Amino acid sequence: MNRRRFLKVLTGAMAWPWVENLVVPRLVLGQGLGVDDAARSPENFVFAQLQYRGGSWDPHPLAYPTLLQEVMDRTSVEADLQRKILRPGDPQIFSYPFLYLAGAEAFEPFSREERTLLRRFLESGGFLLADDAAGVVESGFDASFREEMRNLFPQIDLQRLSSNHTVFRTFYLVKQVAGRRIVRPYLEGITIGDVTPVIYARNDLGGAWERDLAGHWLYPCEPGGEPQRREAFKLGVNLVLYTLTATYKDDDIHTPFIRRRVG
Amino acid sequence: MNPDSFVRETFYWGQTPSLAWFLPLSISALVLLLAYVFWTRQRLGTPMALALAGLRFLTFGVLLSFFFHPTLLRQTLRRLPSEVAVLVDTSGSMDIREKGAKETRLERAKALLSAEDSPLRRILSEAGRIHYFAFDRKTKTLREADLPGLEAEGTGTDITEALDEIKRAFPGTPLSAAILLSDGAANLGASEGVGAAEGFGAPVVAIGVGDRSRFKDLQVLDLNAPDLAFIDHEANVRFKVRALGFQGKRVPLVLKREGQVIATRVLTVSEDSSEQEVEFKFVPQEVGQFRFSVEVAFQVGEHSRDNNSRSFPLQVLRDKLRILYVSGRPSWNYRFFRQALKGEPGFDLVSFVILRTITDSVDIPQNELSLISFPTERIFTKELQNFDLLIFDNFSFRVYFPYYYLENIARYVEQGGAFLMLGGEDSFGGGGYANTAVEAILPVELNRPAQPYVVAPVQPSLSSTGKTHPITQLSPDPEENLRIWSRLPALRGYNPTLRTKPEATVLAVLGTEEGPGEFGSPLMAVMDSGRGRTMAILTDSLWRWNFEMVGAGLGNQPYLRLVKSAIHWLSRSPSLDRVRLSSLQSHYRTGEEVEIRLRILGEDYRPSPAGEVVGSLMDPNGLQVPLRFEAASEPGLYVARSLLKVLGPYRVSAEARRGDMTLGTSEISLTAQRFDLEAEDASPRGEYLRALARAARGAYFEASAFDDTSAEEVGRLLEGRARHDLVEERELPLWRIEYVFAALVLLLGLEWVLRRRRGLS
Repeated sequence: MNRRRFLKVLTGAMAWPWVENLVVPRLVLGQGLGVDDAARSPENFVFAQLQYRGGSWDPHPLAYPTLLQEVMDRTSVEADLQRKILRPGDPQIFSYPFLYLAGAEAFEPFSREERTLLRRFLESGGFLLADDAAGVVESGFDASFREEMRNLFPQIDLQRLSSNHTVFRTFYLVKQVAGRRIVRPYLEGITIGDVTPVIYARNDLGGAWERDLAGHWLYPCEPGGEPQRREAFKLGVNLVLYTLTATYKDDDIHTPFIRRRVG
Repeated sequence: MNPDSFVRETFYWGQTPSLAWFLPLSISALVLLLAYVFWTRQRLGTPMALALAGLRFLTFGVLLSFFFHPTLLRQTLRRLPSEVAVLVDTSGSMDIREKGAKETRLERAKALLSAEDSPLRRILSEAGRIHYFAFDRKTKTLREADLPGLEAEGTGTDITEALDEIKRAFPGTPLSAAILLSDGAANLGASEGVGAAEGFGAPVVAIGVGDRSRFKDLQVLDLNAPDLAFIDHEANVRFKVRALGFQGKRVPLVLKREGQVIATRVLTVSEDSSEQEVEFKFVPQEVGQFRFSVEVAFQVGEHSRDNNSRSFPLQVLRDKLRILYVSGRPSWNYRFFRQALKGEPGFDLVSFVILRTITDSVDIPQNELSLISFPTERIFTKELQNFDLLIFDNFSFRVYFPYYYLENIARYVEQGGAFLMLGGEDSFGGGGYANTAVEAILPVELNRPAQPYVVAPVQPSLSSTGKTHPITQLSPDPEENLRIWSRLPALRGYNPTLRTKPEATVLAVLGTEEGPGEFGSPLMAVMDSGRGRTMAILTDSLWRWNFEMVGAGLGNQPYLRLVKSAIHWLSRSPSLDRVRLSSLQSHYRTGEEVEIRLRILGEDYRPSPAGEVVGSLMDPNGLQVPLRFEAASEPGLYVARSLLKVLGPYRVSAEARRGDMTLGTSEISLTAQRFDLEAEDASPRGEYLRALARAARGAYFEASAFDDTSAEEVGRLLEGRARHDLVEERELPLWRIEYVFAALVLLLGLEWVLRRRRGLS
């Protein structure tokens, strides 16, 4: 039994009348009660990353565990702390509906077969988070990614997501699109119907999430410092929740409540 | 000679001329003749030459004709009496007396047949044998003496049947004619067609009684109303108003629900058309079964009030199936199940996902979170009844609400609700449902103590019932369905259970017979619980049947079909009921016999006989009459018959049992309407009678204008169809009779005289 399940059983016995937004002081427990790998469910959230050709597909190899730990700590999502690395044409992507595509430099265009598979993936419920790690306005990754999206969805443009897009309220009410840098204060995305299967961040989210094995942040967040990093994590949590709940927070039952809070 | 006898002579050639020698001979004769004229015209002058040539030609012609045996047929014939059928319409509409008329339609018809000074009576008395018939729905023979006592009491008018009956009544004897006295207001058989008249074999003389110009009536007809409507959604009712005699008048129309007016409008009766289309639009506000009616207000002078309204039953449903979906955590299973439910326009989804548990902490103010309360008390004590289906997806109730809310859930199901539990670590035993009211309604028994969720790849397979159950039909084609099941991606884990309950039905099991590992434990099971239904899907890997199937190029349709079918079965969608009552129509005439069918399908959804079928019919007064269902030759089909004696709505219910087990129940509504066919449209239809008469090569007359001229025309028609008996017949060969010989002598003599006078030799 892992730490989370232990606590659930403990609190369950108390049969609290529970509300979703009950504020509970964060319980700080020792590392000894960390993740029990043996109890890991294959249906947990898996952070799958695309390993493409050319450029650098893995600019922040230690970013994902911090994000996933944050997701686990703050939300009820159960995640696998080991990432899955997949090539764009790997049919296994259909076992991992969340894909992360990061880089700072230009990369080789995907093949026709890879694009066909990826298009089917994105049109059928899969999600792609693209993260430009360059931290500058003009980057090789940006050019390659935009070209790739034009090839994947010639009829649909990458468009700036409005501030009331679901992704900004799937868990936190996110008001700032942050990362290691603030290159663009917004997200872009490709929207099909009422879902956005491709979301593109220009601010190097991975850079803000990454820390070394000793727990130190690898990069400072500029210009906002730690509050900016905090915003980058909030956005990361929301992105994971968006892939798992889609338009849940657009349901009628949530709308008036969120409108009141957002003002 | 008998005064009824007369001689008829007919000439004919006894031998047909053969062109092979007739033509050359004729041409040769003509050439010789012309040569003769040419040769002699200078000597005799042209007129004499032509006259002599003509005489010789005629003489030659007479002689030549002998080769063809000219014959005269002399017949002595005796006229036979005509066979005339007289059909009198005695349907209810013949009892109508138009405004200003002295007599009813039937009285007018009777007067035509019986009055001393009636031209029709006169001509019929001369015609021969008259056979009288009365007809309405059926046709019966009459004696002439019965005519005065005829009453217009028939409940329908079937002219087609009447003509067919007459045809059958005179199998060997050709009729001279049929005289049809009717208002033409046919309402049975081919009430618009003239086929029966076309094949009648004798002329039909149609005499129309009634005056359409004096007939006044408003009628609602061609009602087109839905059986089902949805609350808060606009529904349309269309119908026609037929107006005779109210041109230009504004008449009110109303739509009523259970006798209460819910909509009105005014119709201005058109000057140029007797039928006008009308539409009412309304928005049902209440769920239930209601009797609606459309009415056109009764106007003074109208013939009938009965045909001014039409009623129809309407079942008002909640617009969509309302589904409450509670998920213990955000997951792919939730993501794809939600996507499937959201994609179905007939489903209205309210979902709660536990985004944060007691162990999850946030270090920001609460107002920066989008999280809302999970209103458990409101939902599980008050709102549950408003949902058609409750889904728990990997959700453990323990930290969210007390045990007794589970009793509310069980009660909700027992009273007709539906419950689906999807698997996962926090489902079934892992969710603490053992020994709770929810376990009692689940199709599976849970382990004690709870066993953890098993993480292991396992292939699913269909149970024998699953092969035919509607939930597990992932394709309409049974073979394709089996193929799809064999290609479904492996599940990554499952909830172990103790066993399936005896009253439950297992649709799919874990593992395959030939495959390794686990086999036979339930994967999907369903159960009827009270008036409700439940289903258990013991895995949280179901989403892979969507996304991984897409990846394999097989698409997500099987998954979407599975979800949709499961929801429809759980919510007792009428199309998936195993015990189903039906009737050919929902509206019947008061007093009409109805046939009610009960179809029973087994748990495997194949036709299945029941041990016992109990049914009843509740009439509009609340009186319950048992129905006797008898097994039909088709398996699983039972038929009962009953009379709808009283006007109003009826409720039919039936229950199929096998031993102590109830297989299912079903209910339908029927309506007995005041439906006097004769009152529906009693307007005289002279044009129809005219068309009938024309089709039968007869004649049409209006009774009011039937005079001596009309009678003479009928007389001529009968005369043309008169039949005769042959008394004597003689053939006279013309070359043997005296005046043919005399003609020859005369022709030759004439030539001799001419020649002599001209001094020719």
